[in-house]
Amino acid sequence: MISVYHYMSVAAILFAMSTYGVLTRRNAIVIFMCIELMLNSVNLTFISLSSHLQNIDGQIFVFFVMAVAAAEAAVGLALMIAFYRNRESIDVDNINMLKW
Amino acid sequence: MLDSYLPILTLIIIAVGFSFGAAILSRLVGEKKPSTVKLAPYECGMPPVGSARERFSIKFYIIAMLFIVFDIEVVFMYPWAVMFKSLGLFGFIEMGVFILILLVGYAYVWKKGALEWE
Amino acid sequence: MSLSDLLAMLPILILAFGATAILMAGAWYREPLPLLAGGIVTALLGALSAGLVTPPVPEIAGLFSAGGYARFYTILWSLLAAAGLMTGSRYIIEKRIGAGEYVSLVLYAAAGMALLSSATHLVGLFIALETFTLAFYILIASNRNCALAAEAGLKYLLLGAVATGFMAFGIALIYAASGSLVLPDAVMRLKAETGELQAWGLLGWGMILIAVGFKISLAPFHLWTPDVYQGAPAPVTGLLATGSKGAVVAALVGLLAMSGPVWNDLTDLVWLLAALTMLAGAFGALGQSNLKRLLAYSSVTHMGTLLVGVLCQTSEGFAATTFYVVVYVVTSLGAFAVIASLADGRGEPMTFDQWRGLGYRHPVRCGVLVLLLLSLAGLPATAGFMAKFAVFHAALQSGYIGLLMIGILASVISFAFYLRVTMLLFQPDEKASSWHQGSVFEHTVLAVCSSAVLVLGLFPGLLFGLIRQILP
Repeated sequence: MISVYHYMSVAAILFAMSTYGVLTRRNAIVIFMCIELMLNSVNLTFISLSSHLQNIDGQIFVFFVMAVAAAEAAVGLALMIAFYRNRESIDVDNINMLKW
Repeated sequence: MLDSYLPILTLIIIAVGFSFGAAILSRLVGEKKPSTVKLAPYECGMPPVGSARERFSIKFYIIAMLFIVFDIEVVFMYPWAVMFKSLGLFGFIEMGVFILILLVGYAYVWKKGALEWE
Repeated sequence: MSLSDLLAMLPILILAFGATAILMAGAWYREPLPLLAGGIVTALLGALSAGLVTPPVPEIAGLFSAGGYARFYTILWSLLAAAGLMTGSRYIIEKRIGAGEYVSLVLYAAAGMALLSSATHLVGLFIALETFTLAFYILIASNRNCALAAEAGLKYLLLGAVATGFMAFGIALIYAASGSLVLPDAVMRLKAETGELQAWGLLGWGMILIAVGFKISLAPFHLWTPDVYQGAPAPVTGLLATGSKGAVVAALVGLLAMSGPVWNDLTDLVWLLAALTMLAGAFGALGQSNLKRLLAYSSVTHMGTLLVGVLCQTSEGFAATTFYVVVYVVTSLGAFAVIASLADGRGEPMTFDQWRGLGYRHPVRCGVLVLLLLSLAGLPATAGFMAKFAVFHAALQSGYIGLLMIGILASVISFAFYLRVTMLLFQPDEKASSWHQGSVFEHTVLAVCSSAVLVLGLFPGLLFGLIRQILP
């Protein structure tokens, strides 16, 4: 029988994988995809918990996470265009004018 | 309860089986005579022009950006639609305000010329 | 949501709808000055309505508080937005940045910060945090033709989005452990849990701490701070350094003050974070030769000190932290306003070579800068001293002697680099060039900030009395 723990395990694995991706990938768009994956693992956690706890709050949170993810993606694309216009690249290795 | 999913399962099995079967069968019994023309990418029968790795116009990104935002806002209408009757007039007004705010954003985008392709 | 809810939300509604109206107006009329004036008036109206209109309900839709604490910060962030618009006025006119966009984004950010400081529900907390973070992503990169600004914006976006992910996952774990998203409730239930659920709750808190660490730049998550501060235009940096960090701290204080001591298992971790942050900021600033980067490291140290106040988890500590936030906001905003007011066609004066001897060219503004830097350092008779004293006193009372020692050590080190800048400003240098005269708006902000630093330094009781009354 698949319980809420299984769902949460999948979500936790997804989250860990996407965090790894954020840390290792070099292309800003791929990093951004990893971040979206992070937020989606959060969504999975919330939906399974909401159903497990019989509490609607978790599902409401998912809507807002989705809206935030969309807004972040839109702003992110815009910033990447601005960056690309200046630097002709979106590789994070090129984010180097300001030293870390 | 699970019985009702049986047709879907059957459909999935047939679909996957057919596509894999066709691919494997053609690989096994098909005749292979590769030539330059055959190996070229297929572009609706036209001779291919340039590389497929061309840069997209920046306009695609702007449209994508706008699409993401307006697309996701629709998400908020689903719960409202489900609960439409019990929310009544108040919910209707709230959703009206929400859509009005989206319209304001749309008007802004339009005025700024982000929707013009040329 | 009823009419009384809407009335309780009036300041936020004024800010948000005012921002939208200005955004639309900006799309049709491109004249920057009326838009700026409209923005400043909107921000002041928001502050006024927060101060004068008594909210009919204590809580708005179960998401945000309308109590005294929330109102206090609503006023502070609205005023901050007004100041941010004033310091940014010359920047947007000279760099031809869309005035409608700049003004509306600053106002949206203020609305988000005000909401964050008053959040009583994890959904409210999350939305409010994202509202102003998104506005800041755009504001930082608002000068699209400047490669440094675009890079700073992208850097802040990538790290900020990761922090958002951690925040959301932390909230999910707290939800898993407590089964509630209502703030005092969820935290209270976490305290009662034992075993596995308690572990989840702690993990959730840890993830939220990581996210908070990114947002307010606690070591070891502070590495973005100097880069973003340097790349962003000074008026925006002023807002980013003060509002975005202050609002997060305010939310943390509000949350902990509502729910009592809940960090017992995390005390050691937070202790370590605070100590690391204070030292990392102090030592990091020593090697800098760029005023904006130096101020960034200085803000890291200050965030560490703030965390000490939060860690105490006593009403004394919360009052000291709130006082510290106000003082830090005023001082830091003023320092960045000085940089913004000097900016001209060459950009902003940043490197120490550019600052050398500037005290003789622009004595008034450099004098203000020295006053603000000394307040940041914590010289007696300035507001900064009272703030630091209050936090350290609270730490002493709660028995954090080790942290107190580290804090004092960091303060002593800080003195060195603040004094270095001060001496640099008044070093005789024939080559020192003149910078911009500054506009009326900028001088107003500087006058307000410097007098606030003096008044709060000499009469801290005024603000302390108010803070003790409003703490939840």
